[in-house]
Parts: sequence; structure tokens; C-alpha cells
Amino acid sequence: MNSVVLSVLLLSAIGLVGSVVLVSASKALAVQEDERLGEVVAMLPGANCGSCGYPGCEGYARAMLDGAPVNSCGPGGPDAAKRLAAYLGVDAGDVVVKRAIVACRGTADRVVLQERAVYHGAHSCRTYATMGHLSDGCTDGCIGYGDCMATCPYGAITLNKNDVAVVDPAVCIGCGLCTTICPRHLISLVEKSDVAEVSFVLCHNTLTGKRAKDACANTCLGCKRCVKVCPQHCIEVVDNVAHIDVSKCVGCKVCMGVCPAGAIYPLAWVSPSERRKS
Amino acid sequence: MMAQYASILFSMILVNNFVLVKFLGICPFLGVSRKLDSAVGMGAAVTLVMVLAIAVTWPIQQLLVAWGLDYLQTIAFILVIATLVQLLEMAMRRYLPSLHAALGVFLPLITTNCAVLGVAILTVDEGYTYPEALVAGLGAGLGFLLAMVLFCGVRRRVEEAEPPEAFRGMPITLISAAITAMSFMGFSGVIDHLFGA
Repeated sequence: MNSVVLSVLLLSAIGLVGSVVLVSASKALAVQEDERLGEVVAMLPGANCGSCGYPGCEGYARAMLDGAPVNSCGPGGPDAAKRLAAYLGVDAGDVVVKRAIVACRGTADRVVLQERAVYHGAHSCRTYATMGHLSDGCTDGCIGYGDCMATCPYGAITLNKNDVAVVDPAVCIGCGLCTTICPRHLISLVEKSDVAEVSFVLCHNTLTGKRAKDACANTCLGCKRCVKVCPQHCIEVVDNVAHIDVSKCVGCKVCMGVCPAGAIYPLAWVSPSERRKS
Repeated sequence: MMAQYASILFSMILVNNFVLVKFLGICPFLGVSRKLDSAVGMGAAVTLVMVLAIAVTWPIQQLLVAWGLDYLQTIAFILVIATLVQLLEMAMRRYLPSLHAALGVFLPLITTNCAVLGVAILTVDEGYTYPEALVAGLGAGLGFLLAMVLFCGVRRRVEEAEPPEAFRGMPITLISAAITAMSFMGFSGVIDHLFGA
């Protein structure tokens, strides 16, 4: 009994002395912080997504107080930029609208899904991708376990009926968290240009000819027909895959008409004010 | 008398180096040793915490033994160390903001740094008197500082030597830490001969 009381007393005494020392020290050693910091942090959405390029919302708030541009917040969009600009007395600038896009439009009978059927490991694209296995299929396409779906804090990514990840432009705020998670590097952020709908190649398949066709019916074959017809010369074939420079695309959709595989699709935008909260 | 203190000091720095011989406090050793100034800052901070911790924990240990509460040693020591680290962080944020930013998360992590708790417990186990324990704490801290500075140099040389891609980063760092630790094994026995203790 005595030792119980003693031990409780001793530890409480140490804790009490420690807390008194710390409280007085925090008063004596208080650091002068910019009082605007708290208000600026409150104006940000608090998603801590990192799309602005700073460590968390507080990091961005500090940077803004030091003169960083106020239009870098993806989730906040133009509304937040306007509020911040008014508060800090600076120019709001144009907010670059971005969205994520999964560059794969795999079919339901693609070889990856057949190979996945005999895989009994963890239900994760990243785990699946680290397994060394010979594959007859496309090794650049969507695996379809939905790692990106689990990463998206806004629920903007879903798997379609073919087990391919699809980004909903009405929800995506362009934070870019999913772009780092995909083991096949299929997801990229695209910046909105003046064109309402640009063309985008939804394929990364580097295979050629019959092998490519057998692996997935929706594959880019690298035939360069789109390169020849593009009036803007903004298409380039690298490693048997066509890439469209979205910033130069005028949305004429000629390339979509000539693509024998139908691998080019229109890329739609939803302006930040019309976004749905999910 | 002086020889005895010197013997304890140098044996803590070289023979019983906390990082490279006892393998305590590896986390900041690998984490903050990339740049020389943050390595020195971290070493100095740990040295200060070690000496202060011993200055407080040694009397507490006597109290614990007198009351028959030795089993509370770990929790009481951690409480004291956590308070000291918090105090140090506040002081550093006030007077050395750049170093505070450079050390980042590793500064509060001194709280759970096994090297600090290790020096508090090991000096008690050795049965040192109060001044001896303080000297041992200073030695342990200086040993940590020495290891940090040495390893910072090693790391810089290794990075300039462009190791194979597979080894770049943490793998080659761990290998060079192992080799640096092996080199410290050469010091065993040196102190006994120097001071004849």
C-alpha cells in the first residue's frame, strides 16, 4: 500500500515540476509568430494534400506570408485564391485547373485480367507489380486492384466494369496524390488549356503488332496515322505509343477519326465551381 | 582523481561510443548526418540533453532506491527526458530557429532516443558517483557528436564516389555505418593502457 502511494506521489511530483517548468519556459521563450498565420491557414481547405508543392496547408500559409503566389491551392480553387488575395492584399492571378487522367482504357478480356486470376497475393496493384512474372499481356496497362482509388481523398476514382480505374472530372481537384501511387505510372495531371475538349491517348502499351492486339483490343499500335493528320503537329510517337501535347491541341478530333484502335479519347474538364463534393 | 575522470570521459567517447560500439541512437545518426552543420547541431543538442538528464536522473535514482521503487526507473527517466527535450526545443526555436528547422522531427525524437535513456541507465548500473556520472554523460554526448561528424564526412565522400545505383541512398549509408563502427573496435583496450585503470 505504502509503495503504491509513494510511487504515485513521486511520479506526480516529477510530472508537476516538469509541467511547471515547461509552462513558465513556454511563456518566457514564446516566439513571435505572424498573427495572420492562423487566419490564412483557416482560409485553406485543410486537406494537406500537397498539390501546392508545400508541406501541408500550414507550410503553404507560411510561404504565402513570405510572398508565394496565392493561386496554387488545388482543392480551394479560384474561390480560395480570391479570398486569400483579398486578405493578403495581393493579386489573385489565374488558377491553373488540373485533373488526373488514367491513361488506360483496357478491355474486359485483356490478358492482364486472365493472369490476375491465378495470382493469390495481396489485393494491391503495387504488390502485384513487384511480383516477377513473365507476361503475354500488356505490362503497361491498368492492373485494376484500385490502389489509386484507395489513395484518392475525394473519392474521385472508381473502377469501371472492365476493372480499369477512371477519374471522375466532376470530383477530381488535381491534387496528384494518385499519380505517385500507380506502379505502372499511368496517372498524370493534365493542365486545362483554352480548348473545351482536347484529345488524349488512353494507352501506354509499348508492345507492337499482333502481340499488342492480342494483349488488349484498345491498344495504341504506334502506327503514326494520328501524327500524319494532326494539323498542329502536336502528336509524337515514343516507344510505340502516341503522346499528345495537350497544351497545343486545338480539339479538332481528326486524330480520333483515323486511329485504327480507337485509343484516342476526348478529355473533358469540369470547372472548379461546378465540381461535386464527394 | 583527475586520471579517473579522464579515463571515464575518453572511454565513453572512444571505447564505449554510444552510436558506433553500443549501437544506441542510430535513428538521428542516420537521419541528420547528411549535412555537417545539422550533424554538429544534433550532436550538441544530444550532449546537452545527456548531461542535463544525468544531472536530474541520478538524484532521482537515489530516491527510487531509497524508497524501494527501482522498478519505476524507466518511466521516471523518460518523464524527465521528455521534459528536458521539450525545454530544449522551445529554447532552440527561440534562439536558433535555423537549426530548429534543420533538425526538424529529429529534435522531439530525442525524447525517445535510446542513447539518452541508455546513458542515464548505464551510468547508474556502473555505480558511478554523481560527478563521475556527469563526466560519463558528457563523454557519451561528445562520443555521439564525434560519431555524427565523422560519419557526415564519410557520407559525403561516399556520395561523391557515385556508388552503383542499387546501393545509392540508405543501403550504402548502412554499409558505411557498419565499416565506421568496425573501425571503432580498434579502440578497445586503448584507455586501459593510457590511464592504467
